[in-house]
Amino acid sequence: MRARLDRQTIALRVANEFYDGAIVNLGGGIPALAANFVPEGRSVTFHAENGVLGFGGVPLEDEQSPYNLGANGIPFSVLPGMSFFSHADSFAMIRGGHIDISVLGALQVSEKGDLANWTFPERGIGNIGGAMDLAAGCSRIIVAMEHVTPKGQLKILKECSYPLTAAKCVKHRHGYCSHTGYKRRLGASGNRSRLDGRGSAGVYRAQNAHIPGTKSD
Amino acid sequence: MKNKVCSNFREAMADIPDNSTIMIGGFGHAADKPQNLITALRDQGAKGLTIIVNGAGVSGSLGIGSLGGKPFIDEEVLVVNRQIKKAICSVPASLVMSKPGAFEKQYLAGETELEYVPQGTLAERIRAGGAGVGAFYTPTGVGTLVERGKERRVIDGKEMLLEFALRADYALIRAYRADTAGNLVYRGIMRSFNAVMAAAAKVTIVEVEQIVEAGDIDPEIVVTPGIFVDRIVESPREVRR
Repeated sequence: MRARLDRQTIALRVANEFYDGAIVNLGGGIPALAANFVPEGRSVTFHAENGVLGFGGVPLEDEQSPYNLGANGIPFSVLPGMSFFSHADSFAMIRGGHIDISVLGALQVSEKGDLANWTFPERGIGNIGGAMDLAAGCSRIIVAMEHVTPKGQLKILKECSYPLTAAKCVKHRHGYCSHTGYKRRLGASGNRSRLDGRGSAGVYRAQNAHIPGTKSD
Repeated sequence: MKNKVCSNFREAMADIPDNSTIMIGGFGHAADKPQNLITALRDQGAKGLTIIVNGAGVSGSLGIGSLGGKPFIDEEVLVVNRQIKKAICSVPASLVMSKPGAFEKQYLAGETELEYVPQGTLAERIRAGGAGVGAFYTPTGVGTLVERGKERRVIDGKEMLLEFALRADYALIRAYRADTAGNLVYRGIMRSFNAVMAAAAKVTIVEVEQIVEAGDIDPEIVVTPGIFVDRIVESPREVRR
């Protein structure tokens, strides 16, 4: 068993949780990468909190529009069946349980399933954004993160020391994923070059995907 | 019919006094921000303002939310101009930690106040304000910093917090097209907070790319009915497509 995964592979592992017909909201960072790895044959609808449902991937440059940017500021393409709406409707979808899967990044997760992902005390300020609504409103929360910080501090703890986004929202039905098979798929999908471009060693220090609420593979 | 069309941005913003509470629409992208109204408010100079807004100016200077990363005008110009006393928002800090924004600098220096509101709670508090609903219970924020001082209650087996409605003296919003009766339609991601805030202020001022005659917008597709709109200004069309 391999002990480490890079960010792209975490995203790939997350995307494998998207079942056919799922409506999914992706947070920034590793979660956003998961859109690139939706398994073939599964139809997944993406929701962006700034008011769009059912959008597609990044269009060619001459087809990009300032009116069609996702919550992360990345252009999307218009797909059949897509819709626009206001923030009131967007968060009615989130809190009202209409979004099937929310993928969030995290700074810390506790063994109780507490999630902390919006700030740390030293910063003195932070951005809650839509994370608290997503964590409180979606039945299925997937946390996609590396297991330690760049400085080597653990991110999965007995208790979170950072301000919480939501309590007990992450269900720990299993521990860490095993990674057998992903190395091969990573090589086959050609993403190794992206890996090698990052940092002097070319690989992140610790790279496990942590995907609570799913059966360990 | 009351004439809602203003001939320029200065005229539309002239009566805003110091210490007003102002909602500023948009999510935080170039296409959803009322950029000309924000500039006019900066030039007009009202001070001691409380702004109710998704972000306190965290994207424009970094060019996050515009094509090609081009910087654009957002609330930060009001912060830089020392017009903001308090922000009620969900995203007060820079999205890039190594490039702190003006609001977080002033806040960390103790010069401005901040009320954190989760984004969905913010939208719903504004919606409630516009709809005459005094308060509501929501599961968002239970067990977090935003719970402080709020009533908690179990409803249908779920812990919830009591959140009060928000209203403002003025709402500055952006839409795509208005008719002279004030009916609005939007384009793409523009609705965001714009369509929610329209109803929640005593005076709603709208920046649009085009003003047409009443009757030229099909009533079937109106998103914001003109009853919520007090002033309309046509802006030069600087964003295309």
